[in-house]
Amino acid sequence: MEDREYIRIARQYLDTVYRVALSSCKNPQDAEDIVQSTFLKLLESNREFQDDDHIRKWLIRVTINEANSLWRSFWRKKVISLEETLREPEFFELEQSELFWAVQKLSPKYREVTYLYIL
Amino acid sequence: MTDENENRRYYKDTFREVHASEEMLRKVEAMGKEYQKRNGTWILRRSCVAAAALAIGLISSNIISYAATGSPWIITLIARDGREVPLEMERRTEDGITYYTGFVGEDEIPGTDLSDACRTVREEEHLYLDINGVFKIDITEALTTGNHEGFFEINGKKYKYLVGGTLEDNTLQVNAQE
Repeated sequence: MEDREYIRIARQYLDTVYRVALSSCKNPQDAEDIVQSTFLKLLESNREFQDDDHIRKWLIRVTINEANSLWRSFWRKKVISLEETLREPEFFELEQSELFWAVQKLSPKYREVTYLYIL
Repeated sequence: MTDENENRRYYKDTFREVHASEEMLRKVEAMGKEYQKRNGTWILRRSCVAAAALAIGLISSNIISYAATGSPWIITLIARDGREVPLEMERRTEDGITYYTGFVGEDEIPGTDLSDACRTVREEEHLYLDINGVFKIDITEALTTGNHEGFFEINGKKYKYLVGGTLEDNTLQVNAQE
């Protein structure tokens, strides 16, 4: 994959990958690890993508797989409280903030499904 | 707009407020540069290999399980020199037919009409569709559902195959498609 194409994909889909990663784990540090693993997989894959939609779906699938691998990892870091570490996004409405935290408090299985439905 | 669509839109707008940091973006971009520095030559060699598309179409899509989490379907091809070539297949469904597509190197692809070069091969309790001695596709499970019709495509040439019968006694028909 050419460097320019990789940068384009990274800039276009970083937020999507990060949101899926965050929805799958309890803290942003793990989410960042998952994001890096996902983009490393992209670099290593040498895959020919049909279009941007194909790229997006592939990235989401790999992100979920990487998150599941992290959960199964023997050396997984100790889980820390989400409220202690997550930089709260700024929402225009209080309801949005409440919605965000309500979803984040779901168990990973349900959080992931909820987020994928939203996507 | 229905309630469900409105809710979905609202959820979407809410989660759009969550962003990866600039630092994260810099790290991910830097990864790309570092990877190319270390592996640039290898990437260039791979991109020069003609990507020959092997597409296997299965009408009975329930034969192949595709994990809900999105795990890819990986088949193992046996190349002419006996190497096992794991191939990660992408799946798509069109008009009720499921296609699995992967890419293999040009040196593993035969060049002529394969209609008469296919046969079934039994190995213990497995039945394979053997394509010109280059590829073997495990179709054992397909037999349990009765006649098994499918497609494969090599270098842009499409073939339809029909396999029926049992492990011990089976029939095969392969026809190139226009």
